[in-house]
Amino acid sequence: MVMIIRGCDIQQDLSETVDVCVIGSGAGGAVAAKELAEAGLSVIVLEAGDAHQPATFSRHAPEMLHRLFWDGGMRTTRDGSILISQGRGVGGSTVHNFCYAVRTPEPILDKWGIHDLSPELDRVEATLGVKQIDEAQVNHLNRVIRRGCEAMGWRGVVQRHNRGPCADCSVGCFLGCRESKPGIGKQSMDVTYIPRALEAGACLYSNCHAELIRVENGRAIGVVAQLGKDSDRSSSNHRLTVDCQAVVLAAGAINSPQLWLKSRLPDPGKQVGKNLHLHPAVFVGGIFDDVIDAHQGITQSYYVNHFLELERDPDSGYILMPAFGSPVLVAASMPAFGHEHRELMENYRHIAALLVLLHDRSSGRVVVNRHGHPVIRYRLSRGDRALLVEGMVNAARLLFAAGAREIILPYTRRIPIKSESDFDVIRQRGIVSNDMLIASSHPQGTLRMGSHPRHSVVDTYGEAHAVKGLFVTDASLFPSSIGIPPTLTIAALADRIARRLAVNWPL
Amino acid sequence: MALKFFSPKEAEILEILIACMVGIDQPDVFKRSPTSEGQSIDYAPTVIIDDFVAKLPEGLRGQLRQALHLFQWCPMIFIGKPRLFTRLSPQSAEAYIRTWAESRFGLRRRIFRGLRDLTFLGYYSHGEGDGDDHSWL
Repeated sequence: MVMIIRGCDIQQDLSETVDVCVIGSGAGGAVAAKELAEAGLSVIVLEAGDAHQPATFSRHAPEMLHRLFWDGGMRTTRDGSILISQGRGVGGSTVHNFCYAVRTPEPILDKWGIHDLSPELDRVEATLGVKQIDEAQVNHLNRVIRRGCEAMGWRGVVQRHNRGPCADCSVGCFLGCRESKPGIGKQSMDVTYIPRALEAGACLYSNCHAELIRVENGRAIGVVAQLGKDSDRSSSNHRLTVDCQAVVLAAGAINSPQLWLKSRLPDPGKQVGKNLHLHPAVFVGGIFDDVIDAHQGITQSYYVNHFLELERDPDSGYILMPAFGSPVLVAASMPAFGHEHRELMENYRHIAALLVLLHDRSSGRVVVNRHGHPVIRYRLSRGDRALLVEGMVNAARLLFAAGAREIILPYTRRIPIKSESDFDVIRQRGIVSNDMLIASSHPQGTLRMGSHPRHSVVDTYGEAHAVKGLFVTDASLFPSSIGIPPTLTIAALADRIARRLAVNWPL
Repeated sequence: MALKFFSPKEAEILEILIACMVGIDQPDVFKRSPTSEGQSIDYAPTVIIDDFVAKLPEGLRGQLRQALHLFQWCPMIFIGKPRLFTRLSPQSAEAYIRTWAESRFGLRRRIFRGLRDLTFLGYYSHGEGDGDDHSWL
């Protein structure tokens, strides 16, 4: 029997006994749940957010921000300088991402000590229906960016997506795909891996927030979760107690270390929560004489990877990604306020924009406050600030090469850039905290894998050095910044870890 | 209008702030809009923001309320006008907001960005909210 149980509907305390309890249902948790259930283990999945019905997704940003994101999309670093978008609900961040399906670069795998991830990547791509984007699906925004890239003589590539036939609806990806169902529209985890996990016998509790991982004699033995709290804040105030032989932690790179720290699990190397990378990204726009209508069609099908040379330097660089969104998102990315801002918004249909997405060397830390809530500490290093500035200058050069008549910078004060001779303004102003929107959608690295307990939290097959039977399968695993959209890598690592766990069962 | 989180006084501050931030002279332009079912829904940006903030975690809600009050009470300190923000002339209000936007202090810039983007959320979510709806133009 296929089972999704809404925690907010439960009016009593419950207990369950299973082989494995998976915490989180995004790219890491969904894959682990499916692989373990299909291997014959009894599996329960706990998801803090809602079980979505894609057909009910609206275009009303305030509603969807609450339905799809932690803290209504307003989660930030402690100093408020970086906005962190993290998915909440069945499917996690795969419900709001832009479907880039990029294979893990070899230099990154070499650095991480993983010799071959091809079989896992192949399996994940097959399950997600990953395909090359057709030329006809490259929208005007992406064609303009490609035109600029080619004029500059830089390297860029039309990407592969986990997306079935779709209606190319305007700005639909970020607020959830209404078309999404198996084989059609966005192939997020909620319509691919989760249904297969449920068919194989897994049970999923939505609106069920894991509060504590239970450990006894150095071994994970269960989870305690709070039932209730859907996006309308209704709550049942009851508890679910899970007894199990293994726990798979896949709550994302902020909430996974938070739960570890809240649960006071062993941390002999003092590594839990450290090594946070964010892929910080800043917006650079161009105003064109022609109508771009960047909101129509697939927002991101192409990107410029000319400045990411991982063979030469696996630790730094950046990519330039087409960027656009609903009026709310574009408004927040623009400089200024009042009439000056409105004048920019009146160019909405004439704007093409890029995100400079940084492969960051800077690292931060997730800690918990006295209420057990995560506190995210992160500061860009001087080198990363310089690289972001270089990225902004190159984004502006590309947009001019594509035909922009004016460049829009993300600073609070509007500084119009009319020609390349104005670029010194960017270099002089640099990156100033809370003077521009810096966004992150890819937190990673906070429970890093590695062979030595002094420098890592889990081994290269995801099992905690200090807690037997506790596995991690989300982006927390990454030993360093990955530098590219991470979904496929998270899913492939989860596949690798879950299959190994199943082979070695019973533990 | 039925408010879930902000008081009527706070909603008044918010309305003036929205007008200043998005550059409109009539704060009540989007009070009511028909839905596709022919009903009428209160789409005032203030109502949208109030509903959004009411669902945020308690800590964030509290910070936003404090930020709004700070904004209301500080014209005397930052532009030397012994008036509340809601009683400033449009020119003075713009000058006052600019002191927050371009402050040397990161916390003041953070408050400015937070309130600015919240007003955009309320204003630009009007109507269908997708890119083909340009009713906000």
